[in-house]
Amino acid sequence: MKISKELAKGSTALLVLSVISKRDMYGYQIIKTIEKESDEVFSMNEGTLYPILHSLEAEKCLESYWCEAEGRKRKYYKITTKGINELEGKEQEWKTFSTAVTKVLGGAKLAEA
Amino acid sequence: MQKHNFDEILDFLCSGIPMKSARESVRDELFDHLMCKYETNIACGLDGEDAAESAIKDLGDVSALKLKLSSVHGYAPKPTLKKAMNLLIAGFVLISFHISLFNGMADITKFIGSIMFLVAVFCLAKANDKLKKAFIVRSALFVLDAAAGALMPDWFDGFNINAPFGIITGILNITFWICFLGGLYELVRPYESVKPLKKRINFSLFVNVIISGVQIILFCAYFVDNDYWIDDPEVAWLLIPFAIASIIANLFVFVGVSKLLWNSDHEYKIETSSSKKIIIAVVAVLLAVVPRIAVDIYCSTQKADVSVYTVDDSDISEAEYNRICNNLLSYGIPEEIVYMLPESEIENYSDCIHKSEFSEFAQQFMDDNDNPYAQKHYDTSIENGACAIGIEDYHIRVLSWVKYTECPGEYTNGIFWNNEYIKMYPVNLDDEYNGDFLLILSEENGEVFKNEPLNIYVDENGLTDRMTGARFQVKEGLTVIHAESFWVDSIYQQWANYGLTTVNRRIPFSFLNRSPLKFFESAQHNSFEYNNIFSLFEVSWAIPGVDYEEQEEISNAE
Repeated sequence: MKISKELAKGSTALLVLSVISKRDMYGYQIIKTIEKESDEVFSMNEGTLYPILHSLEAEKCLESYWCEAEGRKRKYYKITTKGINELEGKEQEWKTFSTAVTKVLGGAKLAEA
Repeated sequence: MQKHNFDEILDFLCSGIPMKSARESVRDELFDHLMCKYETNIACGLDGEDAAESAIKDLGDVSALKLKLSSVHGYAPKPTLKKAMNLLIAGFVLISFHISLFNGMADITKFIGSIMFLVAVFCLAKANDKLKKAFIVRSALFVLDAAAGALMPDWFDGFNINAPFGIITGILNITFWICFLGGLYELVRPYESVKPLKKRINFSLFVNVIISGVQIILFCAYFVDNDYWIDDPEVAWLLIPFAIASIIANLFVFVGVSKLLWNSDHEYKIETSSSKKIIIAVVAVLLAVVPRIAVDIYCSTQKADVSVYTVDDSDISEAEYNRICNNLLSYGIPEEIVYMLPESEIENYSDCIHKSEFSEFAQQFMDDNDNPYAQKHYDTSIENGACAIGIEDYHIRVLSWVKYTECPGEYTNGIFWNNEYIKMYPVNLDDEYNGDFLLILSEENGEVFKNEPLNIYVDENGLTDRMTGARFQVKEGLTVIHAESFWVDSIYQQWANYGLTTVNRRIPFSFLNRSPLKFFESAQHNSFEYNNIFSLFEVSWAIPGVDYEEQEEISNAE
């Protein structure tokens, strides 16, 4: 099942920070990891990912470095302390949001019952 | 094949990123991404062309991606920097050259130029910290100018704001040039061809600091002693070469920096938002205009008390009145002025003798236009915006007349001022304001009205109180007559200046008055405008029938 863009929009930075917090990654790898870990629910395209990565880097939430791989340059991203704090904040925000949504949905179901 | 395709798409995607290093970085990253996709596609069994096409297709809306990337990396494209530098140069030219093809044009061009210059500095402020500081200082100058503009009309009432504002302005100007030229130097420092430009920047900084430094010193001197005045012609002449040098040096720097950046792959961030630039321009205009309009509105609420004017205000006999008037007229004072005076004022000249009663020598003495001591009809020496009267070594009673008939009505209130940097010894210490006489008349519907001054400024620091100025409500066709009687008793040459002007309004952006032409004007003229000046000098020692040289001996003996 695919998630609508509007619904996924608010959580993209959270997902990106989350996967990079586990290990340093490059762009294509991030897309594949998110796809895999979400059981292909989230399918992020490049048009969304790279601007977000560059914004997070400009905000000092991420750092980057270059490596040689398969005969070409590859840019890896690494989370910073600021990024970790940001991630924690976003996680907390997400939990509050999802709990509230779940509660409301549960309430609606109770009413239907 | 796929390499060519990726080049094309990568060129397109990165074309919105002006900063070379950022552009190349994004390009390499996206290339790696496309290659990963391409290799995956090949592994899935697609042929080379299809694999490349599929990789590009997976990017989605490439125009949207290009827009997002250029937005994230938000650096201005080269032409935008060029535009900012052009704006800077154009603004500076308008500020500096005091172009005046019609009356008031110089002020308009300076106004527009200063706004353009500020907006250009704002655009460049993002490039480095020094330019950011330069913009902050420049903005502070605008705020200071707005405050000075608002306070200026009433400066005569109390503390003279000229000196403190002048000193602060000078300090801010120096700070601005240090930050701004330092910031421009930082922009071009990475480039090898910067060496000749560095010399120009240093020279430019030197002359700019000298000009502002001299102004600070003069304002400090003026603050301590009002005898020193910033508009002194000598000072203006001194500053002219520095002003010319600063304009040339600054222009060379601006053009040099612009050219060097244009020819190089600069990587500087500048402000591109049009709305922000418009906001800056609008705020600057409001700062220049609103406080001054507010003061005008305030002044317009001040109305003079008026009453129907009559000359009949004393018990003087008709014969005596006619005798005195006749004596005054013998010196060539126009009838319309003599008969406009109230009788009480005419009485003050009861000891004035007819010109013919003087010896021929004394009359000649008075007629001699080359000798300023005894001109009976002194209207030829309106120099430097003031009537200059040289008096030396004699007891002379001076009756001076100022007639002003063309109030332009530009401002709500005007100021009559009597710039006293001479030491006067009034004849009658008992009279209010030592016998100074001020008559403000207006004509409405064929009837003449006497207008009371809105305020009279009195100098209480001299030997005795003395009127130094009066503010009045300006009306079209207003006639202001001032008469003053005083003795001068000094072996030193003295100068008295009389003038009438509208309120000494501070023109917006006066902190930019650094043009050589402006200084040249200061060296040539004061800014006061008035019309006819008539002065009668009653030579007190000239006893009828006695040669003035004999009188001088008598005077010395006494």
